Amino acid sequence: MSQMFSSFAVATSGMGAYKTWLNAVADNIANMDNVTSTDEPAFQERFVAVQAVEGPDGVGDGVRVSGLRFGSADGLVQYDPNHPLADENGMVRRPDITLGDQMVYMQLAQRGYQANVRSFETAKEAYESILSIGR
Amino acid sequence: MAILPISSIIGGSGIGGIAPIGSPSIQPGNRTSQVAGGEAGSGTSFGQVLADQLDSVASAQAKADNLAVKAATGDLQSLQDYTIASTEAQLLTQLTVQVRNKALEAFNDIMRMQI
Amino acid sequence: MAVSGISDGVTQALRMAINGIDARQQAIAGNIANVNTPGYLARQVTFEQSLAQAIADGDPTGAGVTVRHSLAPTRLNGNNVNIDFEMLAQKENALRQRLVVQALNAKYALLRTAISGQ
Repeated sequence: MSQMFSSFAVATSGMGAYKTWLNAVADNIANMDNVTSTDEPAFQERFVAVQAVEGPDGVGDGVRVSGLRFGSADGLVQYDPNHPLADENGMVRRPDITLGDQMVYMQLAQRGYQANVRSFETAKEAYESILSIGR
Repeated sequence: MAILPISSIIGGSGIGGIAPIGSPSIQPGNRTSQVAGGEAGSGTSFGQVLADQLDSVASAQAKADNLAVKAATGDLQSLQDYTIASTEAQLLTQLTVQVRNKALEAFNDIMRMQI
Repeated sequence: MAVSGISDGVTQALRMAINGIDARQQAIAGNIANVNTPGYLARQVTFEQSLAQAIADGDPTGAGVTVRHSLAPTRLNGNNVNIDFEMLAQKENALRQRLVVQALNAKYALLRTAISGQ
């Protein structure tokens, strides 16, 4: 990118991608205990797919969210006869989401977001030093 | 002689004592003989002082330039080498300019003197 | 070396270095943004050798910037960005830029002293 302050755009793209991931993880955790009847699909785990953005000069223009992927709608069928949504066999459907995985993803996404914030700040320092030329 | 303190600064082991590195871009050349032209007294002439100083300015600037290029190509071994050389070149240049200004002032004073 | 007015070979070399450092700055920012992108290979920017060669050839403006993909081993998702390395490289790169900017400013300050006679 031969645009001015392009490192800001790159760092911002990273922040945006990680924020999307954080949102997806938060959504997964919020819905991980959703119970549905066995004739309905379970809440599907959200995965964020990202892709590098290629720049014309090979340096790269950051990252973008290329789409959302969804986990299994089958979920886990569990025996819970007292639940109002239970079928005649006493089964209900729950999402196939484990809190441990989500916490790991959350850590990764948060670290990634922070790294991009730092990257933004360092880019700012670098641009400020360029702006001091001739002073 | 009033200018002795200056020559002692320049000739001493202080800022004037920088060894030339690389090829100085400014060649003082014959300036010595031009400036020192009418001077025939004993001791260091003002012209000689000025010529010596121009020499050391040129070599200090060449040294700083040399290290600046190294900074550009990432070959600089230690940061302080460059920052010190650059500051010395700057100060030495300012000193020379001031000496020149004072000499010019003195010359003008003499010219204005009532005979 | 081509000398035009107030710009000499040294200032040209410093300007080319700033261009290279700027490209590296963006490449590192891109690596950090893609630290978890599957299949992404870290970009590495080099310009020093090209610049040194261009200076030796007498024209610093002939220097170029090369971008290549890191050959470091990849993780399971095909990504080989080392985040610690990138954060460090980014800081170092920013300091390098300050050094070069300072060198450029020193050159201009000398000129200013010579011009103003102060």
